[in-house]
Amino acid sequence: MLKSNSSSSSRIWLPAAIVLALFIFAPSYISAYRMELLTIFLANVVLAQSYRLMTTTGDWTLCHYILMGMGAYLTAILAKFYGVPFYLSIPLAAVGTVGVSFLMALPLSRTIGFAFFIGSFALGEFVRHVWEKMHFPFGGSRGLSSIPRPEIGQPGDWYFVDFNNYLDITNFYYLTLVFTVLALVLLYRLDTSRFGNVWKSIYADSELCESIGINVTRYRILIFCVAGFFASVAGSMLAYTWGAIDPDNFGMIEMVYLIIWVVVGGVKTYWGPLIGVFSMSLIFELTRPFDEYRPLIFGVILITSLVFMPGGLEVLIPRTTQFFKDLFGAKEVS
Amino acid sequence: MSFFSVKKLSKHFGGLVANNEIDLEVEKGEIRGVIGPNGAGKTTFFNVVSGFYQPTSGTVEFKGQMISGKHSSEISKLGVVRTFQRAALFPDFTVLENVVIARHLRANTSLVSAIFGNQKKAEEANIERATEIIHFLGLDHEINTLALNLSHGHQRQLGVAMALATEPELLMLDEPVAGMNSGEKAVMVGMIRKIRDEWGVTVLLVEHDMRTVMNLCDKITVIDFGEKLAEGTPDEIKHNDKVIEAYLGADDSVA
Repeated sequence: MLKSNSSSSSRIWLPAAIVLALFIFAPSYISAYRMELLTIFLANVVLAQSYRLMTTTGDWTLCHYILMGMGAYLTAILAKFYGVPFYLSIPLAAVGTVGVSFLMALPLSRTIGFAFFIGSFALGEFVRHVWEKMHFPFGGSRGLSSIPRPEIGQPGDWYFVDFNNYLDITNFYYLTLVFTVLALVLLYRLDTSRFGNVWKSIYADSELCESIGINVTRYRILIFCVAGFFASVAGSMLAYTWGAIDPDNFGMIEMVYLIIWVVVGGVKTYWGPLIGVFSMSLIFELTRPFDEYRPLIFGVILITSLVFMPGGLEVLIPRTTQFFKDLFGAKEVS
Repeated sequence: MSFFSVKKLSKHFGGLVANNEIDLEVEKGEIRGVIGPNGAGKTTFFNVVSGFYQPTSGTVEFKGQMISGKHSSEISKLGVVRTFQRAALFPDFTVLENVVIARHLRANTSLVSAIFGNQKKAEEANIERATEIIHFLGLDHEINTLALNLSHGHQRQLGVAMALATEPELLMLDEPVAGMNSGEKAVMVGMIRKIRDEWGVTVLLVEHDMRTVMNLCDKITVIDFGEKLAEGTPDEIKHNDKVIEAYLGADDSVA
């Protein structure tokens, strides 16, 4: 909305286009197994970015994974029991998750800081137990399986896209990519809008916000719902990718990883979580041979980054751009 | 129907009576000062009136509308806006961005248009008005400075600019010259006068600094031990025995 934002938005087009091109051409240089990882990675990107939105008001929730799970469950239920096509099930699940987010945000918006943190954990676990105990429609602790794949047309239609080939999920990957790009663009627009600035202002000084007529409670509930909406989109993508979900997919361990992504990447700029998810997913894959040491490795990474880089990896962005500027500036002179 | 009236306003914190049945009437276009020794209950009074605390009893009316008991953001919406004793601002935003955010009540706040609309165009009018306000208060040269890099005096001026950005009818200033040097005080006094004289905004201020209050206010209300002690023009207050007693103590050797 303001000068500083618009000037930075023109500078991001080139890097963003390059990254997008890399993702578009990824199927041609990546193995089928890696394609699935990449699809899950895309869902994680949306999740991390929606969590970053949540943290702009300073409210670090412990139930964001539950909101994603809610999206996954609602999508699975709609697709499996009611045969709702993906282009309706994903938005409908998102709307349903917004409803759940709203109900959770009502009591949570009356708390701040530590109480908010613990309260969100308790409410999240409550929802997870509902999934675990209710056999219909959530399938109890065994969850829901054989979730139908998305469909576009029937074999023979000219617009038919095959999503049912489990050996080649390229088509499905592209579908996920479309939703990811959509979600990221919307989240970016939100971040630079007046809403984004109001949320950041609430973090900076909520009393001042009240005095200039911002209803802080309303805006904190709103951000919870909006973040829930995008978490739900990530959940829908996961439900379709996995084909089966159970309550353990959306537990505390996953929440901890989400926090690690966001903390290591940084939350001050839009780019922090993206860098965080990317670098941590890379390390996650590289440490596959040392599976049992992973919690240790990520614990060390979290502590190291908190001690030596409290702003997250994103603080490197201005330094790198400055470095290249100096480099090019020096060239012009010579 | 008076412009702004406080009737028998009381605020108790448990057994402590911070404000006891305070009455206050402010005319439109007035600059009213509220003074009192340390711990007299000025700030509590201020916080109750601006909706940050709920009153124990009594009412506050603005243009015939009850505002006591209302949420502070609603009170701001009705046109009664406060500033803070501390330098309250959004440190990571520039001066212009701070004032633009403070235009919240005058801005388009629909989620759909924020995402799909033209963001630049939507804020054009707000940026223009914010620039005007910054110019009016003489902060032009700092317009693109980050708020956290401003001097204390300028930070406090920015606070007033942000309150003005909401287009209030009654501006409530909480110790506007606290912690300032004499130069900064003079600037702030000039600013407050200008706000009243040129924009017709009524001002209610709480202040410690006697010289500023005497020099600036049309009428002064004195509070001591949570109760209204006296009210009148600066001259009347200066010569009021009760006030002198409250500030200097009643001692035979003084008299």
